[in-house]
This record gives sequence, C-alpha cells and structure tokens, in this order.
Amino acid sequence: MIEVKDAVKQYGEVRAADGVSFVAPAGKVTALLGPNGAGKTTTMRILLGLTRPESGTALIDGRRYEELEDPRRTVGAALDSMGFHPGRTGRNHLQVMARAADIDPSRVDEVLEVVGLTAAGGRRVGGYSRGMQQRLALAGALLGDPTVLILDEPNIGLDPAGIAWLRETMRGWAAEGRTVLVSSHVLTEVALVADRVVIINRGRVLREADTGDLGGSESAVIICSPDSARLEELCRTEGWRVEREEADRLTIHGALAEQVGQTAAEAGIVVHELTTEAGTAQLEQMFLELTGSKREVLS
Amino acid sequence: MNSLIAAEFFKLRTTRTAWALLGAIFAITALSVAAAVAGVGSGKLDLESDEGIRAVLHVAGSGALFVLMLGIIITAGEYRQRTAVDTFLTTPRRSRVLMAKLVASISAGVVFGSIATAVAIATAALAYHFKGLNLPLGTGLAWKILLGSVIYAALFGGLGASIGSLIRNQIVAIIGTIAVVIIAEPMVFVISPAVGRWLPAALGRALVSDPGGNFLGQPAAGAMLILYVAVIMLAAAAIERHRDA
Repeated sequence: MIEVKDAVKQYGEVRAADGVSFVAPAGKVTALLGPNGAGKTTTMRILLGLTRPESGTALIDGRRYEELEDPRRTVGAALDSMGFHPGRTGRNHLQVMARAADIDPSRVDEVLEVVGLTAAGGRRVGGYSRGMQQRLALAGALLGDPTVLILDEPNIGLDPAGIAWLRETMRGWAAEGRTVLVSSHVLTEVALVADRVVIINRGRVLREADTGDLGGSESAVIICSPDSARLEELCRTEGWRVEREEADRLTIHGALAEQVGQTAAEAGIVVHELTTEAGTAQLEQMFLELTGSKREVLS
Repeated sequence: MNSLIAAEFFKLRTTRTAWALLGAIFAITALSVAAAVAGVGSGKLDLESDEGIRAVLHVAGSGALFVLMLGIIITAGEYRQRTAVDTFLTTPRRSRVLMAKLVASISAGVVFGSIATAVAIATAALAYHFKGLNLPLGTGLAWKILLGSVIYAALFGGLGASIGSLIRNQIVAIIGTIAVVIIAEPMVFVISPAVGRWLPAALGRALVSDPGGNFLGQPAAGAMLILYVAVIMLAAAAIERHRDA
C-alpha cells in the first residue's frame, strides 16, 4: 500500500508537487493520470526517495523508502530516468542488480523470460530499441519479486503486443494482492487497466476515485447489421439506449454484448460485427474538465 | 556492504573501461621506465647507485593518473550512464554506496598499482640487462619506492572516487582534475614549493621518492593524501543527503 500525504516539491519557480495526497491500496492497479508535466514523475521519485520533498510524507507499507529493510524485495520500479550502461548486456545489467541486492542470480534468467528478452539478454544494451530498454527496466523492477510496483509511463516504447502484455501483467499482479501504481497520460489505457484513478495536474490531485465510482467505465456495445433498423427497435423495446453512428452501425448503452447478440439471434437478424467498447467517454470528459487540457495530450 | 563492493567489482570486470585503463597503465609504465633507464644511462648518474635507482623506479607511479580517472568513472560514471537511480533504489542509504565505491576504487588501485609495479620491475630489469647491468633490487630503497607506487595508485583511486562523488558530472570531474594535477599544481609548485608540496600530485610524487623536488617524506605524504580523500568524501556524503538522484 502506498500513501502520499501533502508532498511538496519545488524546482526553482515551479511547484512540481503542490501538496499531493493519495492512496494506492494493495490488490489494485492505481493510475496516476495527468497531462505532461503534471507532477506524476516527481511524485513517484519522492516515493522512491530519489527526490527529497520540501514537506509531506510518502510511505510504502507505512515506511519511507529509505527505511525499507530490503527495498528491492519490497518495491520494484521502472522510471524513465533510469539508464543502462551501453557496454553491458541486458543480462549483465540484471546480474549487477542481483549481486548488489543479494538476490539469487537464477532470478535474472527468470525475469528475462517474463519480459521476453531471453534471446536478447546476451546483447549489449547500447543496441537495444526503446521498447527493449523498457522491457529491461521492467525486468529490473521484477527482479526482487516485490509486493509494490511503481511504473512511470511504462507503455512508452512498447509495441501494441507489449502494451497488451503489460496490461494483463499489471492486472495479474494486482490480482495477486500486489500494489501497482502506474502513471500515464493516455486515458484509454488507464480505463482498460486501472481499478483506481488519481487525476493530477499542476502538482495537485484533482480527483481520486475507484474507476467504478466514476461512472465512466460503463462500456458500450457496438453492433453492425444490414437490418439495423429492426435491431434498433428491438433494443429500444429492451430498454437500452441506442445511438446510430453510421447507416448500419449502432452503439448500445446499458447492455452486454451477450444480451445484444442473443436478441439479434432470436429475431433472426444477421450480424456483421459485435464488439464491446471500453467506456472512456465520461472519464475523458472529466479529465478534460479537471485539467483544462487540450486533446493532444490525450494522444 | 560486502554485496555492494562485490557488485562494484563485478561491474569493473564486465565492462571494457577498466581493462582499457589497465592496458594504458601497462603501456605507460613500461615506456616510462624504459625511457628513464635510457635517459639516466646517457647522463652522468650511475644506474646502479641509489640516485640512479630512484631516478628509474619512481616512474613506476606514472599510471596513477589513470587510476584516478577510474575512481571518477566508478562514481560519477553512474550519472553519466544514468544508472545512479537503480543503484540508489537498491541501496537508498547513499553513504553506503559511496563507501562501497571508495573501497572498490582503492582496491582497484592496489591491483592496478601492483601490476604497474611488476611491469616496472620487469622493464627495468630487462633494460638494465641490455646495458650489461643488474637491477639492484636488494636495496631497501628500491622496495620502498615500489611499495610507495602501489600506495600511490591505491590512494589516487580513492581520490578519484571522492572527487567523482562530489562532482557528479564525469566529464567535468575528469577534465577538471587533470587540469589541476597537470597544469595548476606544477605552476603552484614553481611559484611556491612550500605550498605546492602539500597538493595531491606532489604528495603522489613524494610516495615514489620522486627526485624532482623537495617533497614530503613517504609516511607524511601518504597520511596527507588519506586526509584529502577523507575530507572530500565526507563533503560529498554530506551534500548527497540533500541532493536528488
């Protein structure tokens, strides 16, 4: 569990953290969501003892990072400010970490396998792509099999398959009871992975809530059918809200894909497409209202 | 603590930098000794006299500057390669990291200094042999100088670690240190030997009984260098408490 209380950090004229407070409970994926420069990285660095706050506390399982008995086995972190010696191999980088932290060297090959770098482990990091470096950073975070994971924009550099893999992995960690804190400026990604969202801008927490409570996570069903007029009517009879986007394409709110499919089948209506769309609209609207930011930061 | 030191050694063994510096020390020591034998031999000094031995063997410490650079790379290099964050995540108590790096740098200095000394003995023995002479290793003076050159390298390793801990920009630390040691210090020494003899490079030369000036005695020079390392390292540790990684 992570608790940040009234953390303040000033860089010259800029208050990177201006009284940041939030809680990231165990067993959940908590997303720090905010536009670029909102204070997400600063908050994470304060948590990890890398940046000294002017005031406030940042505790992991009730302790400051410096007070942790065995930090690598408690917290795994992947930050953008981490670099690698270009002349060392990926495996060697992890071996150095394992030695310094008294971690069994057999873990090195295990975590390389987990992040899909087994084959590349023997190559120099200088030749790694951005995505491979991100995977290596994640491997380092996992090395001590920690109970708390702190990941700063971990999707950057990953390909779509990597992003999907990471999403599943984060959900798996939370399901195992670990605390996962992940920062992102990508709303759709947050909506897919987070149980809890902390919206932050200009160093302040604007909203902290479980995604279920936001009401924005309600998903919609998209269905395409050549007989969409009849389908629309049937759906309305069921009491679902229907929007027509294109000629043959309907967006249905308040129903599950299974229910819509069943309804269509019972009426003998041909269906060409049936998908569920994660509900980000409300989250996005709230995010925009709270941060006053423009669309481009939402990438 | 032992794990931290072991990790530092592991890093040194598995990157090319340390090996490249060792190669440079190997070459510069052999060349310096050979040149010294040739130079002294063509002058009035008797190569087999105490003065002759001193004039030849003191150059066994020529590689110390490379060990100084290694100490800076071991410490400030963490910021250049941006690995400092990982290091401090493993060991949040930064004074322990600095101590481990200091021990690793001094140990590397002992190893490199010993190798340089062995190279110096072998080169000198060979050069004396070609001149039809015997390198008089039986004298206490020869061993005093050679032991001094190992201590010279060890303490310069420590000096590099302390400088690199204080000045985290590796390029600035290396160029600044070399400028001080090679340019500023000799100038001070010319203007005022009484002041210059207390500065690090002069102390290093004192450790190998360099005949080129009125240097301190070996024990005083060693003690003084230890003091430099300790003061700079303590300053670095004090500042590190308030620095962001």
